[in-house]
Amino acid sequence: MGGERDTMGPMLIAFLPTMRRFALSLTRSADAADDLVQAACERALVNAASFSPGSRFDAWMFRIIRNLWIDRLRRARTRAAVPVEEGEAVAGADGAALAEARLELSDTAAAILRLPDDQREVLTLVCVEGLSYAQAAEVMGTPVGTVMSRLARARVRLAALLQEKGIDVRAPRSSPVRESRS
Amino acid sequence: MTDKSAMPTDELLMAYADGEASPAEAAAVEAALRAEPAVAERLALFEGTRLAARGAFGAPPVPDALREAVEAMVGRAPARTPPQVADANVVAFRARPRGTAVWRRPAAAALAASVAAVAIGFGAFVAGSRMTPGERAGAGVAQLAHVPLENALAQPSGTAEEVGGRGRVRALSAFRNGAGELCREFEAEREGRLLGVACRREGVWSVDFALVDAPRAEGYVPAGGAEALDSYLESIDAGPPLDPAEEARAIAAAR
Repeated sequence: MGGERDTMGPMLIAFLPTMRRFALSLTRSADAADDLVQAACERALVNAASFSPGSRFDAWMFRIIRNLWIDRLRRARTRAAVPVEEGEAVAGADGAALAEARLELSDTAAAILRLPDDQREVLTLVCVEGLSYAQAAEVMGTPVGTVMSRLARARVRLAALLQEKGIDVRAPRSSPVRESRS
Repeated sequence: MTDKSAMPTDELLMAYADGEASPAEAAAVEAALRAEPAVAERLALFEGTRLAARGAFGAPPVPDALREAVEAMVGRAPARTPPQVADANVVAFRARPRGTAVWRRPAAAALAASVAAVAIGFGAFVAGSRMTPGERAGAGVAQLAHVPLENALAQPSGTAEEVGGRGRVRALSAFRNGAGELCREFEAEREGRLLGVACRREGVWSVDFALVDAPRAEGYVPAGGAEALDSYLESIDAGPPLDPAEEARAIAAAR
């Protein structure tokens, strides 16, 4: 019966830009992102029946994309037989530099790609894709408290990285409101 | 806040900036903002990073190769198991019951959009004649409207009722939808099987949803029908099945 597949197909196509943006942030590579999105779409079609109507489709897809990516990292590590630090992409420290060179990125995007994997992921889910803390926690399979502590660290780090480039994210409100002290 | 040096935690300031703070937490942050200027600066960091990140990637164009690959995948998905193609058709005749403002569930809305486009097998099911898919799509709705359901749907759940020479209809359950209408889930059998939902309005049973299995030529039993029905039931805010006594009272009251 084609009900879920009939529904799933148009949604997948409509969400391609969003899925690819998330995959780009995870993989830091256009080619890897495209592969990942394609594999995620295949998995979504096979598992169409497990999507519960009423829940956010993008969050469901992010979870699929994320789990596939983690599987791939794990396999790559096993193949390489080289211990890789938790939270570090297989592409290594060069990954961000490579991505910056290949993609035409804004300063902020470039800075986001320099964040550690776990911080980059949560910042992308909440600040770029607009998920709530609870939704991000579900995608990542972590408690909300972990989402919050990682996200706060990610934003402090992002602000520092941008500061290095002479960008002050606090600009609109950078001067303290002295007169409010009475 | 009496202690002017008190700085809320980064998590709390961030939750405030993101609109995720509880009213009590928000009040605490606002008190701290009034008491200590440095709080505003720290808060600005969280507001600023969110703002900067939101537009950081824009919407990079999807490469044609990826789009084409996914379109091909979607297009061939139902064809992977050829017997499925014409085996089951879903028909929502009425998008929503009166009194329900919108289809709140995006997937259900997408389901409605997709079912409108499928060929309907029930025309052939009812008439027992061969029609082209196009004819069936039109005739299915019209003929289903003339299935004599009146008696069958007045029966207690589980009772099968012969409907003329047109097969049997069995009421499966009774429930109320979000609009408070009495609805029945029913099954009709002839060459194939039809699973439907009819709701009582203006003194008649109106069939709002039907899912048709074609004759089981190859012994194939569609697996996804239950989910399509579930999506539909959820979209109309279907309540739990009535117990036999409630059901009998509701049916008697509806006649």
